[in-house]
Amino acid sequence: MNKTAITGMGVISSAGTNLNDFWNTLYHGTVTYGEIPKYKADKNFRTHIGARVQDSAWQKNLTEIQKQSFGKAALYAISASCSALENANIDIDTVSQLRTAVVLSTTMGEIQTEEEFSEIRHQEGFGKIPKNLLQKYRTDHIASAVSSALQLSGPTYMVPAACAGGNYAVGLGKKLLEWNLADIVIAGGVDVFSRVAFTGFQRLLSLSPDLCKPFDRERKGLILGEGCGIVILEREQCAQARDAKIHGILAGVGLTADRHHMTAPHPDGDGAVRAIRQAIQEAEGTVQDIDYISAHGTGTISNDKTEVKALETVFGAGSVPPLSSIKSMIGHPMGAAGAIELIACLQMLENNILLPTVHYETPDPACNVDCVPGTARKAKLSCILSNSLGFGGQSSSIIITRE
Amino acid sequence: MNKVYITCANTIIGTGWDADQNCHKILPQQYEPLLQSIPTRNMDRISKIALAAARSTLETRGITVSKDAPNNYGILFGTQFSALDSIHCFDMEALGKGALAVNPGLFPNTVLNAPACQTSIHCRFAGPVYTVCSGPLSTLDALGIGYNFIRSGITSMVLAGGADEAEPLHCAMQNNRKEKGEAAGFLLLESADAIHYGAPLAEIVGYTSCSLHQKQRADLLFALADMITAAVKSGGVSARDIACLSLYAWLPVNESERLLADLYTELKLNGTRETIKTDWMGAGGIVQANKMIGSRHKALWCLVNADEEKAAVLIIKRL
Repeated sequence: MNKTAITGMGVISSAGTNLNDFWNTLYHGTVTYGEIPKYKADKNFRTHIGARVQDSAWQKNLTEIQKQSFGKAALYAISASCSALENANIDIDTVSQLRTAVVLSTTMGEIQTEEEFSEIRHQEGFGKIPKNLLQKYRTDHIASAVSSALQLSGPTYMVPAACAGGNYAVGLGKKLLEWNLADIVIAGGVDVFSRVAFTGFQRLLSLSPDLCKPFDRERKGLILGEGCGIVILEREQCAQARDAKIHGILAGVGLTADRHHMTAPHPDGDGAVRAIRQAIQEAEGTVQDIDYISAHGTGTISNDKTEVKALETVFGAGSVPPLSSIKSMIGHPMGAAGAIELIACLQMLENNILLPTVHYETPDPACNVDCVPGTARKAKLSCILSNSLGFGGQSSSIIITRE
Repeated sequence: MNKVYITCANTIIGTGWDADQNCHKILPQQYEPLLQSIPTRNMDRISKIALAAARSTLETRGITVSKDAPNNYGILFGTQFSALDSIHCFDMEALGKGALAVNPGLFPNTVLNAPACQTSIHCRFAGPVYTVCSGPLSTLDALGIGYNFIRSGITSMVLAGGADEAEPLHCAMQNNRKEKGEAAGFLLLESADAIHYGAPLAEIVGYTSCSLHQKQRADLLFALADMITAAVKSGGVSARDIACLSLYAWLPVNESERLLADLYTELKLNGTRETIKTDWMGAGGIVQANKMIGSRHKALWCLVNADEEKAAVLIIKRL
């Protein structure tokens, strides 16, 4: 079967809105979250820390009409897709002539639009919500906005899968190529910073009041983030034929469901174990092939413990490869996490460097893993596993290898 | 490639009438009896109606999936708005009472994949769980992706379909004067190898989904005709074999009917044709499929969905 090549990357993150800034920020272990003044001033919020995209340079790819017509999630998606195509050295004429598909995921879609019309309804009543604001909400418009901006003819899907979303979208993109329903796929995930999510995670006591410290015994929770990650998928032969730079091969995808609980992971990591094994099987590899793991690593007590348990089930206790969580630096961008972490993985593969887990100080006996604490580390990388686990028990793992 | 059969189908169509919203509503008595023994505290309405439709489908087929038993069964849940009402209610409560006063048990309802995951949890499906938000095409795209999952051997069984609510906010977003309706339903898709008993109801033989970008009406007609031709060709049949052509489109009813008539002529068809007049939001495709199953008309059906940006075609052979 023809392999799936990843030939383009576009990122919008609190760590940077271009690939160089993104890599340099993470390589140096720079934390990109901080206090959000709006929440500090509100006594209803006991935690005030979040990771927001501060750099407005991401808007450079957008037209004024697009800015007026779409919600912020769609705008992130258009901009990151343009950057990814540029990185793939594919011009807009080419993508519009081929069967180019768009597959994106999200946790909450155009949630800032919902928050805007909720505020209007709260203050002035339902009838005062402008019609054009309501039109911006539709989740499918996020992917359609990308398709429309680039005048694409292939299928367009939004596939929300909570925090496993990026991997779910990339997984479906791979299948569209294998099923011969597309020639190029623009795949990834997007989520914008959300008051609803901040409120909900606060009420679930899942937010850290200060630092995100995945796998540390003193970890206190996640830091909410935002962003967008987009990758360009092509059949390897097509990429080679146009002499494209191949950042990596999407070798395996495992998608499963915990079928256990809406918020709590399965205590044995059931879905995660099966997703990892499926991904390895699809990649036609073995556990010995995995050089590094990009962990879901949210920094909550139960998630990190369960993820390590799942990894120990698959790899054996004491045999889990080095892993790290870039969420320690960029927080948790929810539906964008998987795709942003995939981009970080491709950059690690390219540079033969493991990105660190920052703020790791105190080992947790329940998380007995090498989490690349503190600083980036040189390593010979050929095969990387990336996990994303979401609300509702959505579990996902992907494997990327060198060409 | 595997053959893909529909072995069971169940759809809950709203039988209540809300005159204010001009809308057919699903009544509690239509779904609550189907949720007995399920802990539904804090579960929102969209998840309840989705889960009820799924359980009803599995029960009709006589399938019980035991807890923790390994399986690769998938869920393809199409929905235009998914948990919008839950998101909005949660947010309005936070704005009204303050962020510290909201019920944390309601937060899990605010993720767009919640109804699909509740279905997965309570039906114990352990394979891929996809929520498909394609606007009015949502359930038809869910059926099409589910078809490809079985066809390519990723899973042996898929619950494909979906649901949408029609609360005042949804109706306001639709921005049309059509009668609205709520529906929730699933088709059970199985590969030939997985069918151990009973005769299948139908076979899915083709699917295609494309972006169209507000084409002019003439271009739209030809684009849809091309899509249908491609979909039937992929299934090894001819467009001339289509005995029933069903269209669910965003256009006003009279324009939809004109488009369907032109499509019928363009494809030189001889059978029947039908326009879905009610706005079922993202559940239009499952309503079309439900009609196809209910008709017992053993023939080739072509279900078409279209909105301003995209279109999908599903070809089904009723057995």
